[in-house]
Amino acid sequence: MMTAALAIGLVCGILAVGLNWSVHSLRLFITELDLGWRAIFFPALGAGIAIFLVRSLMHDSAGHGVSDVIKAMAMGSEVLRRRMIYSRFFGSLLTVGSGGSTGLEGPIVSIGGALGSALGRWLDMNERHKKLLVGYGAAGAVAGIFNAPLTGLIFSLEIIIGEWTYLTILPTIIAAVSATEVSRLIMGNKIAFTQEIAGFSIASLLACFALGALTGIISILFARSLLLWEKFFSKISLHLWIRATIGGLSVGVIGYFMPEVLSEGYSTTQVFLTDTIRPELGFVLLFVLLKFLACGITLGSGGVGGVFAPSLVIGSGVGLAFGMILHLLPLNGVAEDAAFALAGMAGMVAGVMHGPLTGIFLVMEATSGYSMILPLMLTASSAMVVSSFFEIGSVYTRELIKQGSLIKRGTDRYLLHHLNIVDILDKDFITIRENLLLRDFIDEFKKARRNYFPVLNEEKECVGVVFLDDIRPHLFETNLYDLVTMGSVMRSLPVISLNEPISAALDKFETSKVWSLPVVEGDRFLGMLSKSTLFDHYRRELQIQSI
Amino acid sequence: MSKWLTVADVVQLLHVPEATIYRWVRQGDIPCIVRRRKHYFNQSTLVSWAESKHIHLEEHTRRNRKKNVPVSQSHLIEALKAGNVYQAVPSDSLEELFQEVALRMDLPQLITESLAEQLMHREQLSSTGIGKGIAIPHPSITLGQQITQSMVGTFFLETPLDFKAPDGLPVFVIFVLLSADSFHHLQLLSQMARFLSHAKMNDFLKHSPSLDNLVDKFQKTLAETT
Repeated sequence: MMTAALAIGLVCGILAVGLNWSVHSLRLFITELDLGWRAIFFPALGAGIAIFLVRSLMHDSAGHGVSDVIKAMAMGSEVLRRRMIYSRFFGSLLTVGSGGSTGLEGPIVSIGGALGSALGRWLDMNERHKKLLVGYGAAGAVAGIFNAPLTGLIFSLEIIIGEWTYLTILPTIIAAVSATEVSRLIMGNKIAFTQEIAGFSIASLLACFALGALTGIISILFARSLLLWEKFFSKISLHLWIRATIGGLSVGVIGYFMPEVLSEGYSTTQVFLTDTIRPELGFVLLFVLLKFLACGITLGSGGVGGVFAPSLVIGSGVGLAFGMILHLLPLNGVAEDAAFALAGMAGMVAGVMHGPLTGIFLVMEATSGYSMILPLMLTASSAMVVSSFFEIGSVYTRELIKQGSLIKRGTDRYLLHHLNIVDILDKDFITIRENLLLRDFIDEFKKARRNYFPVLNEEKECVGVVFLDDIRPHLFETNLYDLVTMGSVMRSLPVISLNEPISAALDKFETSKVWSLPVVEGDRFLGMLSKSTLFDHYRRELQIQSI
Repeated sequence: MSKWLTVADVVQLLHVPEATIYRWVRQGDIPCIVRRRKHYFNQSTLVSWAESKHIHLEEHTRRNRKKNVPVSQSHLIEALKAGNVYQAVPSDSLEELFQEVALRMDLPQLITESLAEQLMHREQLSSTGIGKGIAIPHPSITLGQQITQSMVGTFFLETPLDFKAPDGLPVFVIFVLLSADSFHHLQLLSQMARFLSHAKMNDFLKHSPSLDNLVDKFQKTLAETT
């Protein structure tokens, strides 16, 4: 596992640096062309070609990256296919490089995940190990692209793997460290945002709570606006790459008026953090608004990219504006605006991704300073609390939770998900015909091992079940022997069909209040599922899976 | 205003023993507040808590409980009243008799149409005659939810009819049993068989009594036996 983690880390580092470098070169090339108003067509061109490539040539879907990886952790690593490595690489290169307002982190995380999954398959590993490799890949990808090993580790453990055990921590660290080292060897040890922040006063710390709440609310709005744009574009019944082109064109128009919203936007954040060139408050607010819009359109129209970078950039804008407004108030000892911009970034990441630790460590490492730790902690955690009060999951997991496909290992749902109805059917019972008389039933009953008897009609369909408890009081009333047919004393029960999940079957147990229910495939009766057998298997599964 | 539930309510909703609820409260596994040493559960909080844990909350357990309560003897009286008594029913053949039964009983349209056939079907399986000229025809599968309550229709036949009963005697009275669920079916059938085998019952029935007399007699017999 260590070697695999090392290999994944190295490759992720190279890919992350490569993607970052290619995108910046492309951006530079386009800006140097200096086409004036004609530049509005570039995002459209990029997004159109990206979707065409991804869909038609590589037969992949353009997901949000991180949600695919999280889904893979829950449902099985085969969700991440090898072609994702290329499709996400070139898709995001074109989308972001041409000016699409989104980030590279989502795609690079899914690339890392797909890499891990591919390696696991190649080495013929078991599912559990394959999933861990996916997590190592995600750690390497984040560490490589941000030049931030701790963030890679925390992101992977907090958001992707979700499990802190000896099996996860050391290899994840190896992947994160090796990816960072590779990235530093190629690009040099660059710190994303250089910022020295002096001590924070208590008043400023308290203000961080408010900033946290604010970013929490904005992160909810951000996540919802993404969904709305997605819904809006899915209603346009045109070919996907045309949709992307339309989206790209609208982003291009926005970018014509404010070029800062295009692409990742880190350079703008850098400006926000520098004291010397301080933008106007109005500009900052407008920037946040337009970035919000442009990112929603880019992702909603199908652009390949993530929400990591937009969250950071929007967060810095919100934080800066917050700081500026605070300075307008008659207060003493308020910290610098830039400090609030940093705190806003952490808050936004925490709110959007439901990962406060990731937000804290990312900003800390990106600024290479420990001095901000207190405001970061307060902002990120309060943003997380506000955001999770209104939303059940992060921007990544919300859809999965709604589909019911976010299932964590060791939970009730996970155990049930892995029990197969066919394997635990009871078959040692006696079936009876519905027009069998009580007299003849007595003979059958002598041979029975179970206290229930499924009743079949002439077409061999299960029409009900006779429970011994129901007829026991009358078994010795001989005058009833020829009067009672089994069809008239059976209970008609809900049937469980073979392909339904066990959780649905359990719901039927709860409503019908019996211990055994018939299982059918189409009209064919297969056997009975009993709660006691189910419990046996459930416990065995729990014993195997518990840590 | 949010509604507050007591421990007893939660016992009902979750279907676990009271001690378990208290243990969960102690362990902090269930949202609950304590006021003056009493435990209260906020209804909406509890509902969303149960939802997040995929737990079913039972709205009312009353309906389920009814199913397992033995049918009291008054049920039979109720069923007799609901079914009514019909005198001098034309009975040249089984088919004619059952057609007559379906028409006279107060039933939903759907059942009226198929009842005669269902009763014939059951008769072909084996005779519902219980001897001494009495039969208890019934469909071989209970009508279930199609009728709101079980009913027993009493029909005195114009001319006694051969039901191929075990003792070979022609049948002069039939009790058509339509039960609302399988649990009631067996109980009602058992009670009827017991009542009708009672001494003197046969002589009483021979006089084609009215509904009131019949109910009266059943109640008296009931009082004697208990």
